[in-house]
Amino acid sequence: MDLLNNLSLGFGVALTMTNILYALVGCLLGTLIGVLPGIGPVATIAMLLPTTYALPPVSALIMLAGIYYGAQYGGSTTAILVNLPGESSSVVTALDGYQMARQGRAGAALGMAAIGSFIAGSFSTLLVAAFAPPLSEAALKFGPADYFSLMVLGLIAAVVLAHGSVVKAIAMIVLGIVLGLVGTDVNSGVARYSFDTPELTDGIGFVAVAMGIFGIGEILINLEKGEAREIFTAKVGKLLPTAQDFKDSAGAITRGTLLGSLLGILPGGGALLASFSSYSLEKKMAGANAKPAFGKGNIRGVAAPESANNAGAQTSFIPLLTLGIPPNAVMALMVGAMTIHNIQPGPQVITANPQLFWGLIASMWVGNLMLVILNLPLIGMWVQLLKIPYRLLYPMILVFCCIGVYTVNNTTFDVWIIAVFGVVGYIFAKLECEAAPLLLGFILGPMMEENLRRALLLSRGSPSVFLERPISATMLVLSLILLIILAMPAIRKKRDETFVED
Amino acid sequence: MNSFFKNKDLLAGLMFIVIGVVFFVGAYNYQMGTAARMGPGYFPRILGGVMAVLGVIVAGIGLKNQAQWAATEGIGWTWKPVIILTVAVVLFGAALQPLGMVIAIILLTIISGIAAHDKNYRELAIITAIMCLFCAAVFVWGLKLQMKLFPWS
Repeated sequence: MDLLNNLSLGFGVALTMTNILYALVGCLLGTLIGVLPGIGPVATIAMLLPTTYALPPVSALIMLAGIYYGAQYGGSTTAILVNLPGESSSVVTALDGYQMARQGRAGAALGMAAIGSFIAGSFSTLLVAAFAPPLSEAALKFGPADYFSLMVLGLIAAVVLAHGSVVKAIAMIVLGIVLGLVGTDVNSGVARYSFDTPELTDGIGFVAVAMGIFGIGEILINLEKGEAREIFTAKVGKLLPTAQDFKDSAGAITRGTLLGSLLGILPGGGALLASFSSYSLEKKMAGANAKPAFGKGNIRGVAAPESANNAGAQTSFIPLLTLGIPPNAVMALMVGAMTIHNIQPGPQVITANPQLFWGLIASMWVGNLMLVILNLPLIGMWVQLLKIPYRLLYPMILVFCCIGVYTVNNTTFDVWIIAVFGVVGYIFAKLECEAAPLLLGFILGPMMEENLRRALLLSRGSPSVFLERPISATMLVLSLILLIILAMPAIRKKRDETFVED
Repeated sequence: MNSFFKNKDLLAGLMFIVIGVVFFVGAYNYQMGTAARMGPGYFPRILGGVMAVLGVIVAGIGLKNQAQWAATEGIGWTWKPVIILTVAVVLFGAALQPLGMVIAIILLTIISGIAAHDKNYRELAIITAIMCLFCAAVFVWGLKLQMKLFPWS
């Protein structure tokens, strides 16, 4: 019973007073930013990275992970109560959740969202625990060529799951990779694209890029849109769903959990895709004669996406922990967090730092439990927070961004960088160029160059090495298939529909 | 002519072309090397080229749909908040080391607050005071980060 031994090791780490405390802080912060529209997990984790310096690595990762899955809980609260998804992954929850609230069943919707999330969270924690060790063992057999091809597959998959134009998304990835190359080349020591600026020879800090685009850039877009917020006045009602609700939702939660777990593992996947797909699936399965109809307050339309986004948030740790390859922008930041603490993400983490690995996994379950127990009574408080107007919120976010980025290296230069990337992020948003693929490319760029270099050095410059190695060839064939599928008109139409649900 | 500025794909494509060319040409400053022994210029040159080509495709798609873009309302840039926030952040950076955190925060919140549609200077002053106290407590006294609070400290 290796699994049990490992889990007990993990719980031993996760259940120390300090780590429970940090999991709690992470969950509360996550819920907070999940409730507040206009600030997401990417910006928050970027802001808090520097403050985790002083913490032991396990505690730091536990807290940051808590922010990500905590945000999934918080996002559903505002989606249901005020029809305002605090997180993009809760957009579909608002469809039926808000209708239920208008019918006076807000409590049941909130309760079911929390229960579904908890079931999904527990299941996906087990899944991470069961699949991570064999996968990381397999990953140790990967050579540089295999890694390179795997990253290509990951990036292509990220494109498939991005919204909008495929070509634009690929171009954004390439842009991210080249930005990642700025700075000193490890092999030759040449400072690339640094324009004789000493600060740039260390490269552009990815915290600065993430905060600029996702922190300041988002503020600019929100300021432009102005504010339209409905103040919630209705009663929340009884939080415990009825027996009938449980009967209706059981299937939806199961399907949401399974689908979400699967989509979380995929490169480019995660909470967002999981919630959208499971809502579509549930709607299709219920058919036209569902009662009440979907979009009119069907509890299955709340249970399924909320289970799925939590499951997806958690299983997206699998590629990070086993392969060292982040499947989405939040995980890209986790790579940064691990590097800050001198942990090289990858298959060796599980053997070199078993405490950290299993502690993190166990903490996810602990965190989920805390979220259910703590958040339901706290709902009133979260709703009060919604009354903070955006005109006061955004100066606060700016202060945290600026101080946060400064403390990464104690250089003023990084503050300039976020100013620049704030403007860049605004331009991207206006031109409908999605920024998440850029961040992935930015993190993977240097790794890709290194592996490409090594692979071609070993093969004496022959590119056929990528096709001769079975693992690498499989990855490349999969990438190609994905691209071909994307190019087919029927699929393209389907994909466009998924992202503009109703 | 004016209607080309409504075309988001065309503009995005041009942006990718320009950046791609800059990286492609810039790569000539560094050694190219061979595939087996890549120099520092090898990977950036390939990527710069790829990005320029992608830019041409994006721009081409934009031109093909120019008629539809011309019928849209336009992109609607609002530069005022962009300029205000950028100035605020830059001043924060400039003030932090010589003048200390308190003055830097005051500059940042007050200036950035101007960008709101519904600004309220009394509230802004309160928020500024709260942020100064909070950041001093958390970052300077709590986490003991290397930052001075006032010009004289």
